[in-house]
Amino acid sequence: MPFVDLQGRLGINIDKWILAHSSEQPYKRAARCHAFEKEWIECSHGIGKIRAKNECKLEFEDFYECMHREKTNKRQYEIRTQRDKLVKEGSYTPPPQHSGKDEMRP
Amino acid sequence: MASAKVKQDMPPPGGYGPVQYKRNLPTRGPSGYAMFGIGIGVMVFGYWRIVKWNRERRRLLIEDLEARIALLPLLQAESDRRTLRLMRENLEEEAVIMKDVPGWKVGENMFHTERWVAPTLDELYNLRLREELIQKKFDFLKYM
Repeated sequence: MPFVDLQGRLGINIDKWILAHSSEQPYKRAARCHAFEKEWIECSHGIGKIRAKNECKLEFEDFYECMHREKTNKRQYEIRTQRDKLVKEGSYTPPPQHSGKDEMRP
Repeated sequence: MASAKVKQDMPPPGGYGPVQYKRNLPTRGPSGYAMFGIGIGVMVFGYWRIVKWNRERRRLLIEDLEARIALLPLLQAESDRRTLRLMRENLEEEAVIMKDVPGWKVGENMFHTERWVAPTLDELYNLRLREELIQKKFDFLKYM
Protein backbone atom coordinates (compact mmCIF):
# COMPACT_ATOMS: atom_id res chain seq x y z
CA MET A 1 0.00 0.00 0.00
CA PRO A 2 1.51 3.26 -1.05
CA PHE A 3 0.93 5.61 1.88
CA VAL A 4 0.87 3.00 4.62
CA ASP A 5 4.47 2.06 5.28
CA LEU A 6 3.52 -1.33 6.64
CA GLN A 7 6.99 -2.76 6.74
CA GLY A 8 8.33 0.29 8.47
CA ARG A 9 5.58 0.26 11.05
CA LEU A 10 6.10 -3.39 11.83
CA GLY A 11 9.85 -3.04 11.72
CA ILE A 12 10.29 -5.92 9.31
CA ASN A 13 12.07 -6.17 5.99
CA ILE A 14 10.21 -8.60 3.78
CA ASP A 15 11.16 -7.43 0.35
CA LYS A 16 12.95 -4.13 0.68
CA TRP A 17 16.21 -5.96 0.42
CA ILE A 18 15.28 -7.19 -3.06
CA LEU A 19 14.14 -3.95 -4.55
CA ALA A 20 17.43 -2.16 -4.98
CA HIS A 21 21.08 -3.12 -5.10
CA SER A 22 21.75 -0.34 -2.64
CA SER A 23 19.77 -1.99 0.14
CA GLU A 24 21.37 -4.16 2.76
CA GLN A 25 23.21 -7.05 1.17
CA PRO A 26 24.41 -10.29 2.74
CA TYR A 27 28.02 -10.21 3.96
CA LYS A 28 27.94 -6.44 3.43
CA ARG A 29 29.10 -6.82 -0.13
CA ALA A 30 28.41 -3.66 -2.05
CA ALA A 31 27.07 -3.79 -5.58
CA ARG A 32 29.18 -2.48 -8.40
CA CYS A 33 26.94 0.50 -9.03
CA HIS A 34 25.95 1.06 -5.43
CA ALA A 35 26.98 4.71 -5.37
CA PHE A 36 25.23 5.59 -8.61
CA GLU A 37 22.08 3.83 -7.63
CA LYS A 38 22.04 5.49 -4.24
CA GLU A 39 22.50 8.90 -5.79
CA TRP A 40 19.70 8.33 -8.26
CA ILE A 41 17.30 7.04 -5.64
CA GLU A 42 18.06 9.89 -3.30
CA CYS A 43 17.63 12.38 -6.12
CA SER A 44 14.37 10.98 -7.41
CA HIS A 45 12.71 10.01 -4.14
CA GLY A 46 9.31 11.41 -3.38
CA ILE A 47 9.01 13.76 -6.33
CA GLY A 48 7.05 11.57 -8.72
CA LYS A 49 8.01 9.90 -11.93
CA ILE A 50 7.71 12.81 -14.39
CA ARG A 51 9.68 15.21 -12.24
CA ALA A 52 12.27 12.54 -11.57
CA LYS A 53 12.70 11.92 -15.25
CA ASN A 54 13.30 15.59 -15.83
CA GLU A 55 15.41 16.52 -12.85
CA CYS A 56 17.53 13.44 -12.24
CA LYS A 57 18.75 12.92 -15.80
CA LEU A 58 22.46 13.07 -14.95
CA GLU A 59 22.23 10.63 -12.07
CA PHE A 60 20.15 8.26 -14.12
CA GLU A 61 22.51 8.38 -17.06
CA ASP A 62 25.47 7.70 -14.80
CA PHE A 63 23.66 4.78 -13.20
CA TYR A 64 22.68 3.38 -16.57
CA GLU A 65 26.21 3.78 -17.86
CA CYS A 66 27.60 2.03 -14.80
CA MET A 67 25.25 -0.88 -15.24
CA HIS A 68 25.54 -1.37 -18.98
CA ARG A 69 28.70 0.50 -19.94
CA GLU A 70 27.33 1.21 -23.38
CA LYS A 71 29.28 4.41 -23.97
CA THR A 72 32.46 2.90 -22.53
CA ASN A 73 32.27 -0.19 -24.70
CA LYS A 74 31.43 1.82 -27.79
CA ARG A 75 34.42 4.07 -27.18
CA GLN A 76 36.72 1.11 -26.64
CA TYR A 77 35.45 -0.45 -29.82
CA GLU A 78 36.23 2.68 -31.80
CA ILE A 79 39.74 2.78 -30.38
CA ARG A 80 40.25 -0.86 -31.27
CA THR A 81 39.01 -0.53 -34.82
CA GLN A 82 41.14 2.56 -35.36
CA ARG A 83 44.16 0.70 -34.06
CA ASP A 84 43.51 -2.25 -36.35
CA LYS A 85 43.12 0.13 -39.27
CA LEU A 86 46.45 1.78 -38.49
CA VAL A 87 48.18 -1.57 -38.08
CA LYS A 88 46.80 -2.66 -41.45
CA GLU A 89 48.09 0.53 -43.06
CA GLY A 90 51.40 -0.12 -41.37
CA SER A 91 51.76 3.23 -39.63
CA TYR A 92 51.47 1.86 -36.11
CA THR A 93 53.01 -1.11 -34.35
CA PRO A 94 51.54 -2.08 -31.01
CA PRO A 95 53.97 -1.91 -28.08
CA PRO A 96 55.17 -5.21 -26.61
CA GLN A 97 52.66 -5.25 -23.80
CA HIS A 98 49.84 -5.18 -26.31
CA SER A 99 51.22 -7.94 -28.49
CA GLY A 100 51.64 -10.47 -25.76
CA LYS A 101 55.42 -10.24 -25.53
CA ASP A 102 55.82 -8.96 -22.01
CA GLU A 103 55.49 -10.93 -18.81
CA MET A 104 52.55 -10.08 -16.63
CA ARG A 105 53.79 -8.23 -13.60
CA PRO A 106 51.45 -7.26 -10.80
CA MET B 1 21.61 -121.88 -5.98
CA ALA B 2 21.93 -122.57 -2.31
CA SER B 3 24.56 -121.40 -0.01
CA ALA B 4 27.43 -121.56 -2.37
CA LYS B 5 30.12 -119.23 -1.13
CA VAL B 6 29.77 -116.40 -3.65
CA LYS B 7 31.54 -113.19 -3.01
CA GLN B 8 28.89 -110.51 -2.66
CA ASP B 9 28.88 -107.00 -1.43
CA MET B 10 27.21 -107.30 1.94
CA PRO B 11 26.75 -104.78 4.77
CA PRO B 12 29.35 -104.87 7.50
CA PRO B 13 28.65 -107.19 10.39
CA GLY B 14 26.47 -105.42 12.94
CA GLY B 15 24.77 -103.30 10.34
CA TYR B 16 25.43 -99.72 9.44
CA GLY B 17 25.73 -96.98 11.94
CA PRO B 18 22.93 -94.52 12.72
CA VAL B 19 22.00 -92.20 9.81
CA GLN B 20 21.42 -88.58 10.64
CA TYR B 21 18.07 -87.61 9.22
CA LYS B 22 17.01 -84.85 11.61
CA ARG B 23 17.74 -81.14 10.76
CA ASN B 24 20.93 -79.68 12.11
CA LEU B 25 20.58 -75.92 12.45
CA PRO B 26 22.77 -74.92 15.35
CA THR B 27 22.34 -71.42 16.76
CA ARG B 28 25.72 -69.82 16.52
CA GLY B 29 27.29 -66.41 16.12
CA PRO B 30 26.06 -63.23 17.70
CA SER B 31 22.41 -62.77 18.40
CA GLY B 32 20.26 -60.24 16.57
CA TYR B 33 20.52 -57.64 19.29
CA ALA B 34 24.26 -58.15 19.38
CA MET B 35 24.53 -57.65 15.63
CA PHE B 36 22.48 -54.45 15.81
CA GLY B 37 24.66 -53.36 18.68
CA ILE B 38 27.86 -54.00 16.78
CA GLY B 39 26.54 -52.23 13.68
CA ILE B 40 25.35 -49.20 15.59
CA GLY B 41 28.55 -49.17 17.58
CA VAL B 42 30.67 -49.13 14.44
CA MET B 43 28.51 -46.35 12.98
CA VAL B 44 28.74 -44.23 16.08
CA PHE B 45 32.47 -44.67 16.16
CA GLY B 46 32.63 -43.66 12.50
CA TYR B 47 30.50 -40.56 13.12
CA TRP B 48 32.64 -39.49 16.03
CA ARG B 49 35.83 -39.83 13.97
CA ILE B 50 34.32 -37.86 11.08
CA VAL B 51 33.06 -35.14 13.40
CA LYS B 52 36.47 -34.74 14.98
CA TRP B 53 38.19 -34.56 11.64
CA ASN B 54 35.66 -32.11 10.24
CA ARG B 55 36.25 -29.80 13.17
CA GLU B 56 39.97 -30.06 12.56
CA ARG B 57 39.43 -29.29 8.88
CA ARG B 58 37.38 -26.24 9.81
CA ARG B 59 40.22 -25.03 11.99
CA LEU B 60 42.64 -25.50 9.11
CA LEU B 61 40.29 -23.66 6.75
CA ILE B 62 40.01 -20.77 9.17
CA GLU B 63 43.77 -20.68 9.35
CA ASP B 64 43.97 -20.40 5.56
CA LEU B 65 41.38 -17.64 5.52
CA GLU B 66 43.21 -15.74 8.23
CA ALA B 67 46.40 -16.01 6.22
CA ARG B 68 44.58 -14.51 3.26
CA ILE B 69 43.18 -11.74 5.43
CA ALA B 70 46.66 -10.98 6.64
CA LEU B 71 47.89 -10.75 3.05
CA LEU B 72 44.96 -8.69 1.79
CA PRO B 73 46.63 -5.27 1.95
CA LEU B 74 49.48 -6.58 -0.16
CA LEU B 75 47.19 -8.23 -2.66
CA GLN B 76 44.95 -5.19 -2.88
CA ALA B 77 47.93 -2.89 -3.34
CA GLU B 78 49.28 -5.10 -6.11
CA SER B 79 45.93 -5.19 -7.82
CA ASP B 80 45.54 -1.42 -7.57
CA ARG B 81 49.00 -0.82 -8.98
CA ARG B 82 48.17 -3.15 -11.82
CA THR B 83 44.93 -1.38 -12.59
CA LEU B 84 46.62 1.99 -12.62
CA ARG B 85 49.44 0.74 -14.79
CA LEU B 86 47.05 -0.69 -17.34
CA MET B 87 44.98 2.47 -17.38
CA ARG B 88 48.08 4.58 -17.91
CA GLU B 89 49.26 2.43 -20.79
CA ASN B 90 45.82 2.53 -22.37
CA LEU B 91 45.71 6.29 -22.08
CA GLU B 92 49.07 6.76 -23.73
CA GLU B 93 48.28 4.36 -26.53
CA GLU B 94 44.95 6.01 -27.08
CA ALA B 95 46.68 9.37 -27.46
CA VAL B 96 48.93 7.88 -30.13
CA ILE B 97 46.24 5.94 -31.96
CA MET B 98 43.49 8.52 -32.09
CA LYS B 99 45.52 11.58 -32.89
CA ASP B 100 44.19 11.82 -36.45
CA VAL B 101 40.56 11.28 -35.52
CA PRO B 102 38.71 14.60 -35.51
CA GLY B 103 36.89 15.60 -32.36
CA TRP B 104 38.33 12.95 -30.11
CA LYS B 105 39.04 13.78 -26.50
CA VAL B 106 41.75 11.55 -25.07
CA GLY B 107 40.91 10.11 -21.68
CA GLU B 108 37.34 11.36 -21.82
CA ASN B 109 35.24 10.53 -18.80
CA MET B 110 32.08 8.65 -19.71
CA PHE B 111 30.32 9.67 -16.51
CA HIS B 112 29.00 13.04 -15.45
CA THR B 113 30.51 12.63 -12.02
CA GLU B 114 34.11 13.25 -11.05
CA ARG B 115 34.26 10.30 -8.65
CA TRP B 116 36.60 7.40 -9.21
CA VAL B 117 34.74 4.67 -11.11
CA ALA B 118 36.41 1.30 -11.03
CA PRO B 119 37.34 0.29 -14.58
CA THR B 120 35.92 -2.90 -15.99
CA LEU B 121 38.06 -5.74 -17.25
CA ASP B 122 37.00 -5.01 -20.82
CA GLU B 123 38.24 -1.48 -20.43
CA LEU B 124 41.59 -2.47 -18.95
CA TYR B 125 42.33 -5.22 -21.42
CA ASN B 126 40.96 -3.39 -24.41
CA LEU B 127 44.16 -3.13 -26.39
CA ARG B 128 45.70 -6.36 -25.21
CA LEU B 129 45.31 -9.80 -26.68
CA ARG B 130 41.89 -11.35 -26.52
CA GLU B 131 43.25 -14.48 -24.83
CA GLU B 132 44.47 -12.46 -21.88
CA LEU B 133 41.05 -10.99 -21.34
CA ILE B 134 39.38 -14.38 -21.54
CA GLN B 135 41.91 -15.88 -19.15
CA LYS B 136 41.36 -13.06 -16.69
CA LYS B 137 37.59 -13.12 -16.98
CA PHE B 138 36.90 -16.81 -16.83
CA ASP B 139 40.16 -18.09 -15.34
CA PHE B 140 40.60 -20.66 -18.08
CA LEU B 141 41.24 -20.57 -21.75
CA LYS B 142 40.27 -23.80 -23.42
CA TYR B 143 37.29 -23.11 -25.62
CA MET B 144 37.72 -19.98 -27.62
